[in-house]
Amino acid sequence: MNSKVKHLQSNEQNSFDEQLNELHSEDLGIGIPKDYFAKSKEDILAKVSGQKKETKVLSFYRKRVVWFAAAGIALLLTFNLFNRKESPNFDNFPAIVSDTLDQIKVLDLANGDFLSDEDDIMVASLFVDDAEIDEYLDKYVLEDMMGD
Amino acid sequence: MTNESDFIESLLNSRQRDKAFKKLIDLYQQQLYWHIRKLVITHENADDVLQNTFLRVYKNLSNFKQNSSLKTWMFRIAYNESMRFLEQDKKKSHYSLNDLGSSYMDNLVADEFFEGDEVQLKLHRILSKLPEKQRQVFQMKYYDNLKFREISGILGIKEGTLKTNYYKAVDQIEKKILNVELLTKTKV
Repeated sequence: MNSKVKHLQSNEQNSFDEQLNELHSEDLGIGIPKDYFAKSKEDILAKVSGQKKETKVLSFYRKRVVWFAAAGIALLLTFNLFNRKESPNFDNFPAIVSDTLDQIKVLDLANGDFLSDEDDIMVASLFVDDAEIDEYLDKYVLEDMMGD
Repeated sequence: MTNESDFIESLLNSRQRDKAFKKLIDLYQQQLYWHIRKLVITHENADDVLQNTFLRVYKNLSNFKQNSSLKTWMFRIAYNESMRFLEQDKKKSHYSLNDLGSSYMDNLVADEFFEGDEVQLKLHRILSKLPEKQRQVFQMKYYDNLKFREISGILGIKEGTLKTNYYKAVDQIEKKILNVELLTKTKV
């Protein structure tokens, strides 16, 4: 665009703006403060400039927050990986679980000594023929009943 | 249109943006101001809304899809900003929806930059009593010098409906001005 065309366009623009101002002032009686549009332009540019700075600061903080978040996630993942390699530690279990484990230790339940005679029979029966069980019952249990 | 496309490109280009934005203000500041002023009535409010409009334009330049002209897009933003302002103002003040006419006149008279005489005051009184949409369409066509196509893009109303609104408004204004003149003559 050459300067002559620019000049004409600028003149056209000024003339259009002047007509607008006259129309509003003469028809509707509404006015504006002196040099209002020049001052308003400065105010708008100042606001836009403030907005630009705000956006830059915000994006800087946003980037920092993203970096911190990423670092935090990486740390958590690293801890999890190391913890998986360790053998389970009884001390880390919740109270209810460790209580049960303590009971097992005290009663030596883990070694199977907790089974009574009856329990013994029930478990053993799983590995014995029915005929042998019948013989055992006839021999011991019925004798006990009769004895009572 | 090619010129406008070039201009939009320079607005989106970070190296040319500042210069292009100054040019954008030079081109549309006064047109937008008068458009806003007739909607929000006082100079003080119009000044606030104008600044917010340009700020919104600046923030949203990258979202401008070029479905309409830059001028129509900016007027639409200015119109929406004005409506948002009026909505907030209505909540703060004691005016109900039925009192829009009286709020128009109260704000006008309270504005320190209203310099109108009795005739201009009468014209405002007539305008304030028009249905809101009719008044807006009349003002945009008659005072903002916008085309029906442009008004349609700003308000999202079909051109046919806009023309009906405009001619109804013109008819009402003419009748009321005639009545006022007749009344004045009778009094004399």
